Amino acid sequence: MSASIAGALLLICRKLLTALIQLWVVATLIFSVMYIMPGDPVLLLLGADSNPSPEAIASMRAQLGLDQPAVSQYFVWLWNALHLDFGKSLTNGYPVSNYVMQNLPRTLELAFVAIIIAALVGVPLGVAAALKRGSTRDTVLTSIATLGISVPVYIVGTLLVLVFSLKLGWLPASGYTDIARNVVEHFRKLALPAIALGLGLAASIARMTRSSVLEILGRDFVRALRAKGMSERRIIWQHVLRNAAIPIVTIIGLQLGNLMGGTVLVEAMFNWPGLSTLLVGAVSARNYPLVQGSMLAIAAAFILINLLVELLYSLLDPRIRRKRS
Amino acid sequence: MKRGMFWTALALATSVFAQQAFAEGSLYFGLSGEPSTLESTINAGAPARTIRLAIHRGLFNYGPDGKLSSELAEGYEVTPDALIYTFKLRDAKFHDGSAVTSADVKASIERMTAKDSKATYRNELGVIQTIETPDTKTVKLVLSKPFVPLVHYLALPESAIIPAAWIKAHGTDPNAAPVGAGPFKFTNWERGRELTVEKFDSYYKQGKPHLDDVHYVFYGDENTRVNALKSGDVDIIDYVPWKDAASIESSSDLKLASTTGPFMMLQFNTKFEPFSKPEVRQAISYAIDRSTVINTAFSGRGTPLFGIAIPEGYMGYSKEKANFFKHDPAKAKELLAKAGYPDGFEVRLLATSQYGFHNNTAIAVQAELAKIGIKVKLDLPDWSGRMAKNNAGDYDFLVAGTAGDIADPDWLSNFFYGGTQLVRLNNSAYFDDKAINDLLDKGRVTLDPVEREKIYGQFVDRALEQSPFVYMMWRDQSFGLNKKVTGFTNLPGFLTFQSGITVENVELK
Repeated sequence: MSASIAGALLLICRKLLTALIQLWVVATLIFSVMYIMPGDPVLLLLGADSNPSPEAIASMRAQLGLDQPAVSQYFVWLWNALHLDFGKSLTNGYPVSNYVMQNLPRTLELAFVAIIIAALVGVPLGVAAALKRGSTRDTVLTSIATLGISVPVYIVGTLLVLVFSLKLGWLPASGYTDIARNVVEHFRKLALPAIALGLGLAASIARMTRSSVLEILGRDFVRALRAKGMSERRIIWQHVLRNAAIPIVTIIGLQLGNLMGGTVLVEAMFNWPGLSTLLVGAVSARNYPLVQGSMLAIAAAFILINLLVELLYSLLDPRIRRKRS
Repeated sequence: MKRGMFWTALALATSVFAQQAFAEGSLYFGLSGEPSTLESTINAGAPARTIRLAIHRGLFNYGPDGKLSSELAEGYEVTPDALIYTFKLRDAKFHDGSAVTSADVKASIERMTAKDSKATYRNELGVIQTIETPDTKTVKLVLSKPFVPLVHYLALPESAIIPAAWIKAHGTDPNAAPVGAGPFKFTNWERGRELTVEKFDSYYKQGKPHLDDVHYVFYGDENTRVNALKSGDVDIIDYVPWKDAASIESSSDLKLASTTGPFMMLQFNTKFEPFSKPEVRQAISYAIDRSTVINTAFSGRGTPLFGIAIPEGYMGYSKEKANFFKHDPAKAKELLAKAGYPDGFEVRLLATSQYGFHNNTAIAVQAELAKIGIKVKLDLPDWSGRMAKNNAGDYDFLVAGTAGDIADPDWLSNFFYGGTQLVRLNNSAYFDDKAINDLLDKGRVTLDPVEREKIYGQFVDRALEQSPFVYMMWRDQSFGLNKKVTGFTNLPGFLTFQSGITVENVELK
């Protein structure tokens, strides 16, 4: 047993080290891309519709440190990042880490709630479809799921806004309220984006659940259990679902990771002030430190979540744990 | 039993969802973007101006009628040579409780004209040589050369008066909470979401403002912004997308406040050989069917522009010259042939894919010019990329959507003047015409309005002949409002982006 704990720790360490290297690669790539991209933050800073003088441009550039060669800017940034200093926003000198710490939890919350909705809807539907394979119910559910996967999130979102805020007036069309200020308002504003994001995922979870349950139902041990006279309900709940859980958990975990960057459309559409909104704004303003900081945060969250899923995976299936130790 | 519980739960949920949480006297203003900075001397775009006009006042500002209104100054006197301006200050207070004095005015203006200043209008205000403060209520500006439009530049949101003490303590800190003498005090800026201001009780206009607080909520996506208005999440939105204007007009809860101030035009790089010839630029003006642009890019909401973009009522406007060009492809071809391009030529058009109306204007121009044999290749980077190319002169011609800065005819200088910096954001790159420069110089120093009107009449003739810009249309620029909002005015002429000043008059019914 202790050997298996040590093995798990070693695994975690190795994974964390890989994660750091991955983050460095991401950071370097972002840095290079931002520099190749045309555009100039200084022009945007000095005025939207005016003619800044060359002197004002030069002095602003020097003030922001953008007059230094790209390579030296890169190493300065890297060195500071190693000390957990991700620089300051070019537009207002506000620390990048403040921005990220403010917006990251909102994206995480949106993604988690969406995944929970997706699992609550998708898993039962998938099981229901699998248990009555080939029936009308199965056909209807499978078709809905296919439709759900193929309809893009911005269409689902638009329909939700149209029905629930513009027609029925039940929910706000967009926005964000701090949970500390008004709990009810907070969740009312979370509802539509989370549902819009969750429904598409629910469809893919339902399909995965259905095929996974079907696969297990066809195994010999199920036949053996039935022959033994165990009740169908017990077979499903205790044996089939437990075994089918692994691919389902995997897909849920992977989707959660993808959501970290995939919330862009939903955040923009519902004006949810999360990391993606921050990132999109930073890119169009050429706010280099903010782009790098938020990209790193998204990448880090993605890598961490995948790591967690992997650990969860081995908890669910002792065979994987044993194989590794 | 189960079914009963379901319905109870649904009813409960509905009642929770249906309650709206709106405080009395709170205005929610949906803005098309978040300001990059609240620095008072930099024009950081329409949203920044809207917010700053709640917090700050200048010696003058533009009022709801689009005319100069005396704010912190009670009025002014100018010597006949337009060299010395004297302002009398009214009794007003800053948000920190201190009185607005001549020392604050001096410090604020010196901050803009300082050598290392990044103020947007530093060049224009640079004519101010010395600032005298004979007493706490009098300010005297002595200019290095006559400058008639001075008061208009002092009326811009970027010429706000701020406390001298604040400048000393926070002048270089981009994150300092702003302090001004406007109707609302800055309270909080939650980055990426909203900025809040609250009523300033000692505002110098009796009984104003009416609102307790204003929440400026940032809605970068135009569809989301419109939905927020329609669902009642916000009370006003700026930059109504043209496709949505009709549905707001026809809604029973909403109304539209429109003006036609901003215009769309083509700006040329006169180093690109065909565009060095005025005939070619004129040919392009004749070739473009304005209604194609208006219908393609603005859902039909705009007014064709066949002369120089001078709003009716502004100095230099004349009805006859406003219709100098017309849609006439045959004449365009003739002019092209005369200039030596009977078969047209190939050319790059810079616009941006980030904003639909820029993108679609470019497409319309491309289609129209194809008809006279000019092959247009579109260059559509994002906004930042387009700005950089514009400022580097890296274009053959480009689509611009803008407005004049001020209501005085000297707004033309920014666009038409040659001078030392020949590649700028708003001029046609390398265009430098002596006759035009001279007329603009003369207009700037002539105090007599009749004489001045004549000068700008001559200017318009020369500008039409040279056509360094091709003007295509006045576009509708609209705010969408909930009908319960009264007192908000969309400023006429060029001043629509300064309409935020009228929030001091807004009441909620």
